[in-house]
Amino acid sequence: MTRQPSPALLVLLYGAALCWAIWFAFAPRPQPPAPWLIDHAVRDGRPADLPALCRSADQAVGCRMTFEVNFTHAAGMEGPWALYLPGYSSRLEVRLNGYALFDTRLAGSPGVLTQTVPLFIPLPDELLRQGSNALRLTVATWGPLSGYLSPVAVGPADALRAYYAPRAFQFVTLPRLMLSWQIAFAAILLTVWWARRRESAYLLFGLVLVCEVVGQAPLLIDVSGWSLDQLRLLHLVFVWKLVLLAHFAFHYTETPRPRWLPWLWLLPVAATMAFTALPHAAFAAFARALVFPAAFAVLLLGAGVFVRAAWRRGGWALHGVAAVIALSLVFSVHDVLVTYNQLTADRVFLGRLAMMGLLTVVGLLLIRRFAHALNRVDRFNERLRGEIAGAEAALRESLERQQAQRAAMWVARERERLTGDLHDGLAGQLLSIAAQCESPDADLPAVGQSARRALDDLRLVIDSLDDVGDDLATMLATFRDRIAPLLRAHAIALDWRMSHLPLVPGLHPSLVLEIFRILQEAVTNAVRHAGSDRLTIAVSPHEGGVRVQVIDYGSGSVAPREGGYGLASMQRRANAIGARLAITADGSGTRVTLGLPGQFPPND
Amino acid sequence: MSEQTVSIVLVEDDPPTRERLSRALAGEPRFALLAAAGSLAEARAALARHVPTVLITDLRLPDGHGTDLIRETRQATPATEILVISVLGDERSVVTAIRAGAAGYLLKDGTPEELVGAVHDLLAGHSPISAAIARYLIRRIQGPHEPEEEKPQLTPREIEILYGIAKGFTYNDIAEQLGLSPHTIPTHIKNIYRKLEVHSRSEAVFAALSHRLIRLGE
Repeated sequence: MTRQPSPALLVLLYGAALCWAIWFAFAPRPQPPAPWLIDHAVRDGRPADLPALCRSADQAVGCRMTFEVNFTHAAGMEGPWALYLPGYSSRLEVRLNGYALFDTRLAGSPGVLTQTVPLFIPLPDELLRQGSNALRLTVATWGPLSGYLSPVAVGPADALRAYYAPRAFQFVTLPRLMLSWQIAFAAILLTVWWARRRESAYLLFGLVLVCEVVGQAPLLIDVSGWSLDQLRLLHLVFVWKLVLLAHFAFHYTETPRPRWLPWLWLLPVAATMAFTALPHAAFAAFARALVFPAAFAVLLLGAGVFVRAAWRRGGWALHGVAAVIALSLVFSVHDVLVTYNQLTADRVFLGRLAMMGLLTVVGLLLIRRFAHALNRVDRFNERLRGEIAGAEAALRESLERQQAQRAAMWVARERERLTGDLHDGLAGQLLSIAAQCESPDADLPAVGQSARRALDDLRLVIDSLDDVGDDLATMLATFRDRIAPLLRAHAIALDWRMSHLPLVPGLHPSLVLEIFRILQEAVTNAVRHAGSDRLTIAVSPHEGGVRVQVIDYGSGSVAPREGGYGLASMQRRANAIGARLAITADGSGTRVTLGLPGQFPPND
Repeated sequence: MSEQTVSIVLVEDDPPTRERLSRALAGEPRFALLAAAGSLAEARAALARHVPTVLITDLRLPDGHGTDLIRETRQATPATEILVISVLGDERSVVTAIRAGAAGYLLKDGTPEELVGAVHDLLAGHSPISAAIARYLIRRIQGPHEPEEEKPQLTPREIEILYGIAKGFTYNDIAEQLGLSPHTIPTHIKNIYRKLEVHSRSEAVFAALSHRLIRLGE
């Protein structure tokens, strides 16, 4: 969040703004000293004092005033001389000793409207007479505009320029600079808004700047040739600008907008319609009576919104705007006093400067807000990245835990199965062997046979643990290697027929062991009981699965045999793993067919 | 096969098994059992005295490991063929022995005929191989974790043969599929074994590997 300025700093801020404003507005500006400054003149043959103001009695014609000013020139003193006018407004024509020296209609001037601007003209030596010289200054206005002429200073150019330069900077150069900046900034804001329509504050303020630029156009272009209607249009733009500014104030400060706010648009719309429909005089009356007071109220509304937001929400930005508004109020009071001739010493208008200052500050704050928005996005991204990384880490951890759990479960299940296998199988066989050995009439070959059977089973258990993936062929190859010695020992030839087999998904060690045991049993039966010298084991794909056939060519029968080994346990194992077992026998031999499915259910 | 006497040194720590194997070997008239040792020390002593045609040794001995004996023998008397006695014919111990220089293995519980047959096969240049061993070799050759320089440099044909064996095809099937004569298959296997053998230049690598393999086998 924005850091809140401390109350002491705020008092300092507002105090400084107000003090500076009062000083700038009301402190007398430096004037050239008495011998050069001339405030008495002759107007229409009668003595008259300067400054002087003329108001047009007839709106269509304007007013006109001509002053004769005499001064004394001593040649060869203090370099070239110049004329310095601290302020004039409207058209000005200057003649020296009868010679035309300056004419705003020829030279152009930024001071054609109500603004007063300074003037500085070098006086050519050739036109200057030794002793008394006569200056003739004519101010002419047109339309409703007032004309103004300040006291005149005539003296050494170098000395007078020191008075002229700061005034020209304040009232001509600075406004022009700010106006140029506003043109550029309006373009930037409108571009931002164009790329990001949600930011209506940017659009509103961009339009405010456009209005300001149009309204202040006389600063940049020569409007002395413009018609009255054209000049009045500039005033109209001023009304649009104030309404835009009020809307912007609500947007920028995020103040809830009252429902009547859109009605404000009635003011500029009505003013524009009246301008086009009413005759000049009627429009002027309408504007004075309604439009200008209303516009002033709108201006106060916008300022009020800013000030209220500053005091409600605080923050340097809003307080900065409020301070500039306070400063503008001082300038406005000054301008009102000037307008009503309460401050006749120096007729300058500061409202324009105040408005430009306000717009500049607000514009800078918009840039700041833009940068802050980008920063917020960055921080948000940063946080989001952090959160995503955290979530990923948590997810990975959970996944790893899950995998570890699953692996542990799998290991536990396998251990249980193996333990079961060893208990039921090997332990029992070893016990039986021990019992046989401890018997008084131990049959050693029988003991050896039992031990070998136990060893065979142990090998099957070990073989079944080999990870062969889902590759049944590899697993059966291992089985072949296991039974080959047994068959060789009994001089039985193995006819091994292997085909290319499909993978059997879900083939896991417990299934492999069951398959091994079924086949081992089949082979053992054939070796013991068939009396055949040949054994065929054929493996081939069959009906989507795999078929394994153990075929002997002896005289065995399918009937259950002595010793507990047998078909019942083979059948049970086959059923347990979802395989089909068929045993057929006739005079020519026995055929054990194990049909394995194309895939087994997953192990978990 | 030559009609000369085949001299044999047997190393096996379990006395009944040693007895049984000795009996089986003694049953073959052309075999001469020079010594039957029960430990690494005894075996070294016997090999210092004799240079047998065939050395038959167990891997796990009370005072050391059979691979050391195999390696020493391969260096000292390269002509001596070496067979490893394996309880289960499990691929790890067999391949460890092959890498040390053994050319074949025999199962501890094999019949006397099998034992004698294994010795004769070996002398005829045939090395036994099981599907499990073939599978183990394929895994090692194609395993992503195996350092490239430690992978046996087998030809595509040899790898095909290993595949065939691993998948349970007979020598005849494999020969037919590869367009070979069935008789050449054992020769190829013997070559594979020789390629697996680690020579002294990479002794250190082998030692590390064999130790790891032994640990895995325990």
